[in-house]
Amino acid sequence: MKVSTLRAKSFVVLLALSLLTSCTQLPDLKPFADATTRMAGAMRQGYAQTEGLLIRAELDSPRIDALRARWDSTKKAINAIVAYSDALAALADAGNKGEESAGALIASLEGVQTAVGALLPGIPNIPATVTTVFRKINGVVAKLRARKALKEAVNDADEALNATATILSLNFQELARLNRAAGQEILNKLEFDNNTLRDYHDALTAEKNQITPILTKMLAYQNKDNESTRPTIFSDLRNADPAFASDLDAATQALGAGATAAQTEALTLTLLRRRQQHWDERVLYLQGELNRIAPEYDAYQAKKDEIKEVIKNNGPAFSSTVIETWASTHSGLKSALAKKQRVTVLELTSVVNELIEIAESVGKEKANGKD
Amino acid sequence: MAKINFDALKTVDDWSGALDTLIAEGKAATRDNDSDKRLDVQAQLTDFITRSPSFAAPLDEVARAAARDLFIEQVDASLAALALRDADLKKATELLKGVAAKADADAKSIQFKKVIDILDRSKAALDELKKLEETLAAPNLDLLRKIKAANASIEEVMKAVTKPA
Repeated sequence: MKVSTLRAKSFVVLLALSLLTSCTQLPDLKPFADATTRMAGAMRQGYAQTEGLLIRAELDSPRIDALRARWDSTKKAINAIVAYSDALAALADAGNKGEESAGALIASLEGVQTAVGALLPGIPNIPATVTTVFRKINGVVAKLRARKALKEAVNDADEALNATATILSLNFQELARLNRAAGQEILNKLEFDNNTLRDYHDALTAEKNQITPILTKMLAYQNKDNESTRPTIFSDLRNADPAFASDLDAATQALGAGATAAQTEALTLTLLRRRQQHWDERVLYLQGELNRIAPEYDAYQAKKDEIKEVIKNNGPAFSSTVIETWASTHSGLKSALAKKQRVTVLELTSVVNELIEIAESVGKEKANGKD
Repeated sequence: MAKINFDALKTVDDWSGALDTLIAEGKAATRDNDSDKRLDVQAQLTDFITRSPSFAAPLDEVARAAARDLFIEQVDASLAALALRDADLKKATELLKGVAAKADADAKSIQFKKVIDILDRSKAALDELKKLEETLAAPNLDLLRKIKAANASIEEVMKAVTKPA
């Protein structure tokens, strides 16, 4: 066996041994990155919405400014958390792209070499086998370095992150209280400012609703098909419209005791139609008034519905679950990194086989005097 | 706290009594710094304004003022609560920023970013040197400056190659 091949194989064995005691699997950072995005989004949106509501609630400027100043620390904490999550992602990315990074380094080195060659002709090129070995080795080394750096980062951040989660959760609850208070204040002022309009609308509607059944009964009484129920309808009508009842009683009395049933019926129908006309006119007037105030009233109702919807959605939007989930995802990440992960047999075999092939080709090249 | 049964209120005295109850509850909420209770009273004052008959209109003005006071008190209480945790949050944030900065630097180191950057700058400097060599017959100040820059970059390459990234 030639010396170069022996050296190459020894190198492969040493590398394999070092790999056996190391970990090369990088944990999945996506759940933490996603939880961070959701948490940061919910808090930023919650603040923007609350500040908007407080301004709508006509909170004075000094207090708005004070809130902005007080929330600044929370805003900075959220930014730091996002930067931390991004840094972890960058570490994992660097670990997964070890071969790519080695390639970039070689490309830069070759660029310098070419430039030197232009000044000092005769500088030899970097052998292709050396660059290939370097890429393969760095593919593993980068993962090892990234895993170590990830573990350090997650452990170092854990305590501060848990403290931040607790404070952010409390601050988010405080924001929810401000949001609810502002929503109630807007609703309260809206109801107060529209007291007259609402009372008038309600009075018009209530009166219209009282008249409608009277008119229905009047029409039913005049319908000959309801012969059997007419006495009941008549009785109901008298109760529902006392003015009609008293007018009818006075007219019937004036007619005298000797009046025939037909005369009484004719009198009843005459008075009823006169009364019906009165109610029709009244309904027409009430509806006219309702139509007149409709634009103003509808605008008030729309504002009321909108702010009620905001108040209703306040609970779920300000749930601290989003922060708790984010913190527990970080704990999960810490646990995953704490586990000793051995290189899988398949992975190890693959790396070792590739390196043996490269080492053998180096040996052959040397034996043929190419290098 | 007990909910006011607005359906049972008939006379001005009934409505006035209900308003007195709500104002007393609001004061108690402020005294106990009880945000939930304060918000509940605020909501009931809104119901009061909405449901009170027109003959109780003067009471609505009192209800409105009380609701506004409770809103302002809630804002002040929330601002105080946020201020209470400010120092701890700032401290934790600084720690997180430090960890993130180190992780970023580690990621760049794994990707040989610093070495690649120096190599690229060196290549550019060497290219300039080549151009200089070609025009050496007529040197000028600009070219001399470029020689200096090229030398500095080559020194950096030497340092980078001998030190870990």
